[in-house]
Amino acid sequence: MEDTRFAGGDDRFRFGFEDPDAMRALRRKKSRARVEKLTSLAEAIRQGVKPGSYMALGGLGEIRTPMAAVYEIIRQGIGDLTIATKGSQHDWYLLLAAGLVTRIDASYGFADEIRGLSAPARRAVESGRARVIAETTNAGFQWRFKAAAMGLPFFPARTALGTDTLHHSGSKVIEDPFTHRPIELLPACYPDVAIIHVHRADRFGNCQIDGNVMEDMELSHAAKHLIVTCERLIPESEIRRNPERTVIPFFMVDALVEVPYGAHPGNMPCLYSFDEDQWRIWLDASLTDEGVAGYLANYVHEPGNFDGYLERVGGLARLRALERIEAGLDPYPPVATRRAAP
Amino acid sequence: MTDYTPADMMAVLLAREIRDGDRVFHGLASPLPMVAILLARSTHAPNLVYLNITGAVDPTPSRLPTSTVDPALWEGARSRITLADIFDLNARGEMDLVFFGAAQVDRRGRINLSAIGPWEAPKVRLPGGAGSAAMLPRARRAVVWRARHDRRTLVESVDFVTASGNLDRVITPYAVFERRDGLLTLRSRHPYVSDETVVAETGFALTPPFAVTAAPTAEELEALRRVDPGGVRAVEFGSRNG
Repeated sequence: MEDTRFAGGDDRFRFGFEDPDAMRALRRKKSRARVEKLTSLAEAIRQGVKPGSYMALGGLGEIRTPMAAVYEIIRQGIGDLTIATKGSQHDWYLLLAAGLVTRIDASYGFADEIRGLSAPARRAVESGRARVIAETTNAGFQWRFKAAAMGLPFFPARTALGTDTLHHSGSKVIEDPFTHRPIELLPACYPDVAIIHVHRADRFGNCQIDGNVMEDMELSHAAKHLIVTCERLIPESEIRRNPERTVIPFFMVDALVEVPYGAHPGNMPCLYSFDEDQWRIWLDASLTDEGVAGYLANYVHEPGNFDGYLERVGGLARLRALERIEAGLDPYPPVATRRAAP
Repeated sequence: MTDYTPADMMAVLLAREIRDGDRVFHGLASPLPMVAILLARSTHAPNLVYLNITGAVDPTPSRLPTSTVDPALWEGARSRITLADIFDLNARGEMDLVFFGAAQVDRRGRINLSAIGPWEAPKVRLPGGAGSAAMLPRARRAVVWRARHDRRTLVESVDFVTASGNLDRVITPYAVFERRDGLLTLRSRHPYVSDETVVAETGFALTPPFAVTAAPTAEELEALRRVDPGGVRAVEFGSRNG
């Protein structure tokens, strides 16, 4: 059944790629000194996210996604972004709904799992306001980041042969010189900027994550610029007590921001649960462009900053309730689902 | 009258696909496979190895979430396994069974999770293939499920081949398909639907009469209610994709 043709590949579908030697030169210019990385959210985003950037966000699904950073990008209106949709949802939908995403390198990203397809993401692509520029797979992103982390131009895999995904992915198929069978070469992916939300970090950027690390280690090594937001700043001495928990060492990190509850309304494993109430508000708002504009005004623009946002979504009482659910003290509430379009 | 729902039927059928000792994986958006794996483990396949996208090996969750990337599915695991390790395990041929959803499946057993209509200007932009294009060709067996059986889902030829590979079964609320010589054939239709309905709701030609799927046993239903007391298996029937 396998398509055994060798395909030259189509460079129109190749995004995030760079010459490895150009990347070596770029990295040599960067300071890797153990210096203070702590800055404000506004400053980290202003310095790190530029119009036209190819951006990848950490986490997966609605788990440990950098939502506070997303709201700040929207407030600053940094647009024309290309997004690697590698499995997260609400983070990039909001950027798309705000009109800031024009190109999508897609693996999984247009549905809220069983809550159904994302109405604003569909509207954006089906109306032509944004374009899916390539298809790939979650494994593909993993391997493309890994190639970048290894300073290589590609990652070899025997995977997507015989699919349309292959022919829309920027991959090339060559004859493997060892077995003489076809092999897919996935182009390395060097995001201009990655933003990853973690549980703890010290001020130099040594980062600890509890639970699933997903693709975040590969991503942190692949990105040209890495912004980390953390739930809690901790002293270096605490990092040194549990170095095995440090998954991103300080020399990878360009900017660090302490943002408690920075994944809200998503889940931060072991700290706070997904906010079904907020999600219901968003699902209802997302049915129309007017609803989306109202949501962004109410929860992103008007509050002015993330502290203001947290007040709008219910403040300490709400956040404590989410912590109790995550701790298993209170039951998980009914799951919000999408209502029919008006 | 039956004392089980189509969701019960599908969970039981997905569970029956799991052999004892199988190393089995589901990704995100997979409540029915999640329930099926736990059901199989509690009945005929106590030695299966349960891997999921939260990075867990053999978790023992105390609550079943509807999002299958929820860290609830990490609880009580024997080990963590990174996403990279799961993809590697599959690529080198050590994954016995993977479950994937699909918006469209065609007669050749190819699945579409990308777009309805032209890819460049889709009529409906679908979720995206997630890991399917990478995993289907190298998993030893893949079972595809969809909580809907109609001509939009089961088509002669998919609009976009998101993934193809070792698809072995397709399970719907009406029927079980198997792939033989590269083509899907109907293995059995469920007791509560007629041959005529299955033929009418399938977008490629079938030749009745069909065998009838064995209804869930009392033992299977009892185990199902025990592993999924909250009825998470039904959520795919309540909120539909596209």
